[in-house]
Amino acid sequence: MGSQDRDCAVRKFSRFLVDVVSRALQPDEREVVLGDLQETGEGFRAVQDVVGLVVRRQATLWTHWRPWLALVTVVAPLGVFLSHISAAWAGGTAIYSWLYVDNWTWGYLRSPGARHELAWTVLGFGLDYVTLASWAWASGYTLGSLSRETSWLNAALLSLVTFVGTGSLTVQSANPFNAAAFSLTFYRAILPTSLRAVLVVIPAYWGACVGRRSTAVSGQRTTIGVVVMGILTLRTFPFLSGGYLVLSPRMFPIPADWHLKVLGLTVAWPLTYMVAGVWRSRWGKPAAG
Amino acid sequence: MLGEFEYLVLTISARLGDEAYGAAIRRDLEQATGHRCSLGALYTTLDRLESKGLISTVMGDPTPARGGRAKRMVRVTAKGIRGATAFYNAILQASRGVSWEARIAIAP
Repeated sequence: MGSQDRDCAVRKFSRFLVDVVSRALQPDEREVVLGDLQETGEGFRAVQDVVGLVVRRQATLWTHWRPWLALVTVVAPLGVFLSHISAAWAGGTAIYSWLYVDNWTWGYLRSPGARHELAWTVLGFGLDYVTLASWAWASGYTLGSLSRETSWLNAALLSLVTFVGTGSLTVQSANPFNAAAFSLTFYRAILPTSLRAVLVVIPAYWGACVGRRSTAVSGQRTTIGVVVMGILTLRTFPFLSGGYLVLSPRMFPIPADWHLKVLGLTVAWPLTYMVAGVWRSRWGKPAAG
Repeated sequence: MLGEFEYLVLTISARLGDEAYGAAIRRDLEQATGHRCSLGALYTTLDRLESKGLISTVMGDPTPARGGRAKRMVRVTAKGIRGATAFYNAILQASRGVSWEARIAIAP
C-alpha cells in the first residue's frame, strides 16, 4: 500500500510538472502533447520528454536575431543598470528607514523643519520607486514585444542580472558611519532583495506580458506613459550618483558618476521602442505577431 | 535523401493510415526499434517532414482518453511516398549480397 501511495504521489507531481513546463509550448502543440501523454499514462519520464521538447523549440527560436537583439540591448545593459540603481536606492531607503522607523520620535512631527524633511523624503523615495518600476516595466515591454516567444527566458535573464549584476555592497553600506543601519539583516539583505523583486522583477514581467500580447499599441496611453517616464527619468538623471560594482571580494569603484549616467542612457531604448511602436501602428504596418 | 528516423516516421505513418497521430506513431516506433522515442525528436521530425512537403498534419477530434484534447493527425503525401520509396530502394541496393543473419550465425 505504501509503495502504491508513493507511486500515486509521484504521478501527481509529474503531471503537475508537465503542466507547468508545457506552458512554454505553443497552445496547439501543448494540447496535443498533453493529450499524447495522458493517453500513454507516463510518469516522470513524461517530464523529461516535455523538457526536451521545450528545449528544442527554444533552441530553434534562438536561431533568429530578435531574441539576441533583446538580450544584447535590454537584458545586459538595463539589467546591470537596474541592478545598480535598485541596490543604491535600497541603501538610501535603508538609512532613512532606520532613522525614521527604528529611531522614531514624535519630534519629527512637532518640528516644522523635521516635518518638511520627512515629507520630502517620503515624496522623493516614492518618485524614485515609481521611476524604477517604470524603467523595469518598459524594459519588460520591449523584451516581450521584441522577442515574443523567448520573452519569458529573456525576462528571467533580466531578473537574474538584476539580482547578481551588482554585489550586496553599495556605497552606503560600505560607509562605516552607516554601520548601525546595515548591521541589521533586514536593511542589509532583506530590503534590497525585496525592492528588486517588487520594483524590478514584477514590473518587468508585467511589461513583458503586455508586450507579448500587444499587436496594436494603444497610441494615446503609450504616449502618455512615455512622456511620464521621460519626465521621471529627467528628474532622476542629474542625481544619479556613483556607487560600487562588487564583482569579487575586492571592490571595483566607478571613478565618476558619468559612467553610471552613460549606462543609464540605455533607458532611452525601451522608451524609443515604445514611441516607434505607436508611429508604426498609426502610420505604417502593424507590428508583426 | 531522407534520414533514417525520418524514414521510420514516414513508414509507420503510412502503415497506420487514418490512425496515424503522435502517440500511435511513437508507440509503434518504440516497438519497432526497441528504443525509447522522445517527444522532442518525434515532433521536430514531424515539423521537418511537413516543411519538406512529405507529410501534412491536421488537428483531429478530441477524445475522452486524451482528456478531451485533440490529436495531431498525420497524412503521408505523394512526395512523402516517393521519398520513402527512394530510401527503401537505396537500402535494398546497398544491402545486396550482405546477409546479416548469416554473419551473425558465423560470428562467435
